[in-house]
Amino acid sequence: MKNLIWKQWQESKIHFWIFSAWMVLAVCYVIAYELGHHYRAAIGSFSSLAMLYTFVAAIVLASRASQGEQSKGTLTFTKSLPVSIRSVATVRIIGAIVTLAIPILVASFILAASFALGLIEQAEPLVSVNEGVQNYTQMHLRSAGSLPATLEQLASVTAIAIMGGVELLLILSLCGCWLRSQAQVGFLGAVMALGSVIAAGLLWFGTIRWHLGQMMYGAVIPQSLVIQWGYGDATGGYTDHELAKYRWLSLGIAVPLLTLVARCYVRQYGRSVSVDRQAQRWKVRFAAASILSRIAMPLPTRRVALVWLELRQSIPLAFYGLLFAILITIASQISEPGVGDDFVTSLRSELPHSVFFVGMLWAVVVGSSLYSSDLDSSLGDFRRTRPISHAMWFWNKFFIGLAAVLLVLDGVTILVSWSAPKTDMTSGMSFAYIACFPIIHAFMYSLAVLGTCLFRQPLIGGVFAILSYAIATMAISSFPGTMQLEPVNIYNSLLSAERAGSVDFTRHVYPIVYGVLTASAVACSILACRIAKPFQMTFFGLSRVRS
Amino acid sequence: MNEVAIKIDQVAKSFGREQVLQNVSLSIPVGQTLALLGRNGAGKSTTIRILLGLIPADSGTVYLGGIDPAANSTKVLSLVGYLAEDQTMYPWMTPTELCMFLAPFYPTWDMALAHDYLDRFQIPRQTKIGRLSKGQSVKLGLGLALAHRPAIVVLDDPAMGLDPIARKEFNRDLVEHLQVSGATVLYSSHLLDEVEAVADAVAILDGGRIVRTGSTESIRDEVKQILLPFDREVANLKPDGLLDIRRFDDRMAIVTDNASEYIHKLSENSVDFDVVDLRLDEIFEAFVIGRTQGWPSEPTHDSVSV
Amino acid sequence: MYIRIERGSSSPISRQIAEQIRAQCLAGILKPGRCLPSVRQLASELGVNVNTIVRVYERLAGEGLVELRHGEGTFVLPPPKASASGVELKEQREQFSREFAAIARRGLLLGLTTTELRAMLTSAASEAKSMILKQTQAE
Repeated sequence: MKNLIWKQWQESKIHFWIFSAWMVLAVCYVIAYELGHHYRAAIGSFSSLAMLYTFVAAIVLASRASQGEQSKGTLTFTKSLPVSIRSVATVRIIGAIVTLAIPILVASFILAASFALGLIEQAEPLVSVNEGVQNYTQMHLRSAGSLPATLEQLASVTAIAIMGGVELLLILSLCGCWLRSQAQVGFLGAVMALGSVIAAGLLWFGTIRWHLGQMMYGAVIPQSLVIQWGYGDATGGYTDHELAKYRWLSLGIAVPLLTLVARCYVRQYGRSVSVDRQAQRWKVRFAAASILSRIAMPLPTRRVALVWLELRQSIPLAFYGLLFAILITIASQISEPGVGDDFVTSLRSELPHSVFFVGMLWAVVVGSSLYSSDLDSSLGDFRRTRPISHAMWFWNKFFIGLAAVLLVLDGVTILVSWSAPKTDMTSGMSFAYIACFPIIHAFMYSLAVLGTCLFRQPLIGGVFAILSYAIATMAISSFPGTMQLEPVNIYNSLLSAERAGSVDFTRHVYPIVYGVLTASAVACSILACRIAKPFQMTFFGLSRVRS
Repeated sequence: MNEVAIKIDQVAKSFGREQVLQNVSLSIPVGQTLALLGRNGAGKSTTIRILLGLIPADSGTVYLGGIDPAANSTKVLSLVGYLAEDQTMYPWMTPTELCMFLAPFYPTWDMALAHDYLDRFQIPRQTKIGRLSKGQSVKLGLGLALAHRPAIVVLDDPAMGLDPIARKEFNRDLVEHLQVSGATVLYSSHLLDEVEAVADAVAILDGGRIVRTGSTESIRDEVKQILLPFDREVANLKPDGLLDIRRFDDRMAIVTDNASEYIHKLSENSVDFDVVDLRLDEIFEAFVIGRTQGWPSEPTHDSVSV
Repeated sequence: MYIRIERGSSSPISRQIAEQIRAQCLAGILKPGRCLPSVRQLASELGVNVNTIVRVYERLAGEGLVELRHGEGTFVLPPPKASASGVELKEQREQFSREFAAIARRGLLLGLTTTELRAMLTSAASEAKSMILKQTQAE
């Protein structure tokens, strides 16, 4: 057993250090921001950042836990060792859980220390009773909470983040046992993460809190035990948070549920997705492909051939995209009815943010997965040894992926909410949305393509894109002077102006900021095209050459 | 003399600190089948990749069909039929779809010929490539390489991993479809028995250089093993093309290039010798791991006491 | 036409094929007027380089055993008597004398006396002669 643990540590070391560094930096940012602005809202920010972290960490770790050995080809070797594959699986999953959880704990501890030392303060927690939230008010009007209450808040938020992350990790690892590649796991993980964001918000709408319901729901979806609200004022933004009343009970119930999932994973690990020809023959997909092949018609030009190739390769992409679009539609439907109240207004203004976040992730997923299989593998070799010009291949793929992002995401959103009633200032579709979000999504997509070409690995490329954007926007929003340059802020300003009657895109620094975004997207894509050429210098040195 | 189809001149290539190719020169006339021999890691694949313009050479020139591949890789690739070692093709496509996909990229693609090869090689047309057996996969790769009627065909260890029967079929296909049509073929292989039967000429790559080229027939005539007595009388009869010496008590077995010249010399000096014909793998061994130390030393003029 | 190649043998493939065809011609297995397989056919069947087969046929044509008729094929000629081209015959006779010398040397090393060697030669020669006589009578 000891040597299994040693092997797991060696394999997980790098991730562990990177994740720890990430969370420590995040918490330092939170503390510094709080020191600068004194909003007393550190825990809320910490909670959002932890949520983002858990998504990424869970997806990365789950893909390694379930498919890591398959992708390296060492699974048969492991199976032939005189150790039960279940022990191997147990060590893998525990290693993954530990790698995910410890960085959060460390960061949490640092934050707790700052509270304890009196460095920063937290506002008193929101208390809700049946009639609604009792002491909701502007953050700076709330008094500071006591240290025990603050620490309890922090502990809750930490536990929720860890449990949510572990749940995503376990379920994804379990599903991953039936999939065929790390990229597929990543895909599924992205969709599940986004689904969980939407699902987590379901019981938080309105002002009435259904405590029992939240408790049961929280046992199944731990992330739903906390919700973050984002606010902005003249000098900056902050994140308030609200916790479900029976959260600890909920978490307690969640533990045995998750243990069950973990056991299923241990049992399923190492199961080969066997090529059972007999069984496969009855799969619809297989039959469909055969039909497609039989009606194959000659492709007139090279461009058409490349387009055909991309479209065929993107079939799973299209499937997940559709799933995605459906989730977005459901989310927008749920948020439609509303009874006005400051709280709900604030919630509504939150929705574009969640769609935005979701869209950002989708753009990154599409960008990184499209390029992943083609870059350095032997399949990429096959393509490179055919007379297919590099530029044509790259740009063809790029624009098809971009179309997939914009059509599935913005296209669907615009279609769904165009005729939705604009019940208040910020809901429903607007020209501001059309002017802003497609550009942001295109930018994220380009960033993901660049990341994947740079690192030759879809997961790292995707994480690179998300983190770059997140860090850049956090940096911009931290200072009053540059705050208004943040793209989503500009969108909000344009939206308010539009609702007030004036549609004018020359104001609010729109042309400059969105011009820069567009230019950056173009620059990223051109750079990615250069870097994607084989045998160029990439982040990991000269890309692998088969001699 | 025929015109030259492939010309590699003093090519060098290093990856980081490792100098893989030092000075490789090779010239293949039109219509010849040349087998590139070398140990694993000798640089055969690197040479081929430089030839196709996939990697740039550090120095030296390369011409393939008169075109410089480094300058115009896409053009070269459209003229050459290429089959890589352990080639992975899109596993979700069927052979028909792959033919359909590749056709627009080759100006000379002949779809009827492609389908003809699929039939001849007995490759099921509507089965996904990921489900084909290894032998079928290699034959599919060969079919794709030939379907656009290339004048030059480059095969990088194509028979690797094939079972003996599949290899025989592959060799047969090579002869029947390529040599008969007069294509120039460059291929790298480890299977020396088969190379001998199929190739017109061989080139041995070792230590980053081509240490020997020649036609398969003539190399067997020129490189022979000679059994000689190990004594002082032969000490000053060391051959120029000595490749390997092995001593057996008072006799030695040497392998030397330019054997006929040396045999003549030995006959003139009335040395008692035997000549043994070598197989190609023994010749290869001599060039690559032959040891030339241990030639009997010259007798001293007189026994001078030290 | 039955040809068996031993790959990896010390004897070059072209020599093996040529010897077997020659032996079959001389033994009467390949009758005069019979058409040999085309170069392409034989090369493909044996998995051997096309040029090798071309060389073999050319060599045999040079020895007068076969005739290359353009467009029609390669045909077996009646076995030559003493009309074989001088150069080919001389080469083969030199080869034969080398082999003969090697056998003699070996016999001596085995302890046979010159008298015993001479006796073996006489009996072997008369046996071969009677066999060839029988074959030519059968035709």
